[in-house]
Amino acid sequence: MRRASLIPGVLILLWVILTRLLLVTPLVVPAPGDVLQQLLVILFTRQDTIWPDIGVSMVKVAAAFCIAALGGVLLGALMGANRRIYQTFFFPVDFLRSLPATAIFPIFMLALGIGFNSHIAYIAFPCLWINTINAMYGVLHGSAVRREIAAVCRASRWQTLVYVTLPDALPYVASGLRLSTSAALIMVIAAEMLMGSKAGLGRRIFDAHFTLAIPDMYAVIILVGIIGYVLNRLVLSAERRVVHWAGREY
Amino acid sequence: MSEPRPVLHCRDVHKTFGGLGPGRLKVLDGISLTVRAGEIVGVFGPNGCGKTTLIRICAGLLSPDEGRVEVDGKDPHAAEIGYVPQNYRESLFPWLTNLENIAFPLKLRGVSEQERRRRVYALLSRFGIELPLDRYPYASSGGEQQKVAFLRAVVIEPRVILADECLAALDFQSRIEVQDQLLSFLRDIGTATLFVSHDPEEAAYMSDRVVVLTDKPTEIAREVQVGLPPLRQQAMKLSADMLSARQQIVSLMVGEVKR
Repeated sequence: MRRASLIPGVLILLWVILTRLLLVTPLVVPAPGDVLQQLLVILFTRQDTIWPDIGVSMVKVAAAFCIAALGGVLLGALMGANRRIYQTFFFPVDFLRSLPATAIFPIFMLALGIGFNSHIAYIAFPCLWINTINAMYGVLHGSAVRREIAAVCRASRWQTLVYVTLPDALPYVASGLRLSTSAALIMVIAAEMLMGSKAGLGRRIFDAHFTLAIPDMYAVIILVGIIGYVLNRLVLSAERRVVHWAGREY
Repeated sequence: MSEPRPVLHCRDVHKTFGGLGPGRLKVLDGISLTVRAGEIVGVFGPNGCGKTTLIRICAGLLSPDEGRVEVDGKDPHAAEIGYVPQNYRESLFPWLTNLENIAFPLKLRGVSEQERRRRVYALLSRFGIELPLDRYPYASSGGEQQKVAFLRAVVIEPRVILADECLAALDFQSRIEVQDQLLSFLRDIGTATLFVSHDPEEAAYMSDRVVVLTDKPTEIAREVQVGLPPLRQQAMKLSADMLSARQQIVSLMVGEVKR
């Protein structure tokens, strides 16, 4: 624990020294005290409260995550299980996942309007392909020996799919879901900055930047960092609990 | 009393891999053998001679090019078969506990969870086997994983058990322990067993007779009878009957087998 807090401690110390000695202008790096005070203000007072923005952004993350999980895992599992579907969909999927979502956000806005729906589409887009690719490889890389055991036990195709192939794909699916959580957080901030938004964490950073409320900007950035970290830890611990066998099969 | 009739019947099985191209490899060249109920037949042969191919054909996982395999007069796909593959560790389902692994074939047959549990406990107590049933395979020892794989194969009381070098990965101590448990187990349930081994001593110790295979293209060099009683003890590995069986197997191996 001591070692783990070494680097953050040094960085904060450096931050204090830089700002105290006025080596940087507070327009670029504000004093840590100001940022901390602003952080407490937006968290615990009515004035400029951040909670509605956290709510808006997290609802978008959750909705996009679920859509991408459902669609991606289904498409990926089908592609892994069926050669025809694989051959039909591999090229389009491979192309779309290589296409930066940011390049096509205007299309989402034209098609879905400004606001919630286009944000969801923009956030879900990369997450969908992450889940598709992972579920596909999960099904493709499942153990042939275990499928053979099912065959000798005279399992039907459906039983083999449900009892063997899909559980075998779960470690890959879980990795996909974890990666898509991180991606969703990146995308929601970008969506709210790029595509216009009444509220949200990205909007708050954008506004603070525009009005030169630099301590406020730093406070929100730090908060986004903390949210991202906590989200990752939560997903990771859920993953370890559900796919407890991942990486320890032999 | 008449001899029990054969349960597993391989008739003139041929198998070639690699189609018609230059990579074409003739593996099995006319294998015929029978295993009767209650009988354990060992299969021994040089590396790469197609022991695993033979077992996989018997299990219905591969089709022979010529000849046929019958279990109880039926196609292997329609028969009750217990299969323990060579890499039994990988064959276990890591998302299921040891108990759920053993009960897996019962689950496929729609047996209720309570009944599955009851039958697994009954199986274990019948043979005095102790296993950490609620643990996962990856948290169990090699010997325990081996027993789980075997119990999963026999839980449905199959007509035929196909075991492919299933003890090869165990250390010496677990291996002789599992050998004896397995033997009394197989004698007790009275199924027909085909037992592949790459160790002549183990092949002889575990079997009533040992089918010795030649190098590719593989035929049966000879069947060696093991003149030991059905139930055995490790000390019998030093008996004259055992040594004679071993000697025959080894001399076949170094003699006509290596062509």
